[in-house]
Amino acid sequence: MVLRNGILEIPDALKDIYAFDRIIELESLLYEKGIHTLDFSRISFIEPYSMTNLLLIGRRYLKNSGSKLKIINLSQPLLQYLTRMDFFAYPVFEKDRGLDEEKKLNRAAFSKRVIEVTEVPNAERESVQVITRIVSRFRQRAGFILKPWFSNDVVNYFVTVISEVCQNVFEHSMDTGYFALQTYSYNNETVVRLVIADSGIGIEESFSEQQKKQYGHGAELIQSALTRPISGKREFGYGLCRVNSIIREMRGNLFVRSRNSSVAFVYKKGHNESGYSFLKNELSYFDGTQISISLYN
Amino acid sequence: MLYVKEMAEKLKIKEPDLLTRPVGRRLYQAAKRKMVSLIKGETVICDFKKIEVIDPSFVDEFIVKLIDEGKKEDFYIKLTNLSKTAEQNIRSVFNSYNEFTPKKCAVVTEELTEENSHVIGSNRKEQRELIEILRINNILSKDKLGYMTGLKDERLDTMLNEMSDLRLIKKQNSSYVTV
Repeated sequence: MVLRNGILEIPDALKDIYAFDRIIELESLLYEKGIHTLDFSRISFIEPYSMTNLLLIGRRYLKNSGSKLKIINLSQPLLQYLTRMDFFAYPVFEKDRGLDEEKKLNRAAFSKRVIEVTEVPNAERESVQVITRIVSRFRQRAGFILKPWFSNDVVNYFVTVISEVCQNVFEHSMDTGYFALQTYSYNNETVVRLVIADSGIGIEESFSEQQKKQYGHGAELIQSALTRPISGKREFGYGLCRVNSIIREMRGNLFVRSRNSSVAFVYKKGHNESGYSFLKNELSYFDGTQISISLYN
Repeated sequence: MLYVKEMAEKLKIKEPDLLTRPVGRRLYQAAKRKMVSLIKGETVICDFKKIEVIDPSFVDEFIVKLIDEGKKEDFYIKLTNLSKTAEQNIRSVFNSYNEFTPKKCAVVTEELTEENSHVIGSNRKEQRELIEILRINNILSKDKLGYMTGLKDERLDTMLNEMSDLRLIKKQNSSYVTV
């Protein structure tokens, strides 16, 4: 990490969900050291979880400081990629250079394997419209996004997952969130990753003290929300629970991070049939809830 | 008959998926309006033809509430043309109720489900068997049901009472019919 004249050099930690914690650890420096610019010269790859969480960091910075963080030294492929994913469509970051029209990635071809970053509002009516739009786009592109896994059932499972994770934003977070989905190749594997990230109140805050006594705190509470139909708002809620059971059936991975805790369920093929869960507490604090769902082939 | 797709079209809800609680609430209200002239004890068939996904939130706001309303207003619900995902999502919600709350939820289906029965939500083998027997025979007395299932009187009473409470069967005089 290099700090000079308000510029922070970002480590190459945007390529997987666990590496992104290194970026979270750096967020406080933005304020402590008066950082106004992020140098992306060392970044080699950005996956959707990191992309949506970067937007949350940028949005928070804008809210706190009144000005936009600037991104400099993005490689041309990454600039093309982020532009294509509508990352810069949200007025959160400035960048040191634009992209010529002829250098922009062809939407018709590339769009088949992605759903661009989409803001999920925290107002019910608008949110339902956005979820409908995301699902409709997903259905149009599902044959390409889910190519190695494609079947009508898998598409329908994903529709359930998209709907349930997006609803959590307006039902519980009290914040707007960002959704993104992409199929990409990494380390000789085809990965489909679906991400929803918000900087709202977080899972723990949405439960009462009484419920936390019963279901636990931190990672333990997240695990309960993924394995039992509990809800902070209603008699009980099945959304995350059902999402977890679908991911188990599809032998994928589910990762949920909220504030300073996280839970990962790993059902990936080649691992134990009943899967593994990894609970972490005392992580660096990051507002809200971030969910990543991955399938590998 | 409640043609769910038709109802959704009228409300300008985009199919083939019925998702979220607000959408479930809107369709439930529309269904209620359609059921004002129901006769007591009537069966309402909910047809999900050409609907791909109904998510758990929708299930809770639409199907669970219809079943609750049926208990209150004395009508019965039967589901038809469910996709595999719709059936699984309904089952996940019903199982949650049945496992974690005192409230019990089950519904009869027109077609055979993934679990090889015509009911979602009842995990009792005897109840599933009773449903299948009643489907074939249409109407049977308690004695005949006891004879066909081999269930002892007390156990049979428990099963039949539970099924009546869940509105999976109807009692007609001293006999039973399936919904």
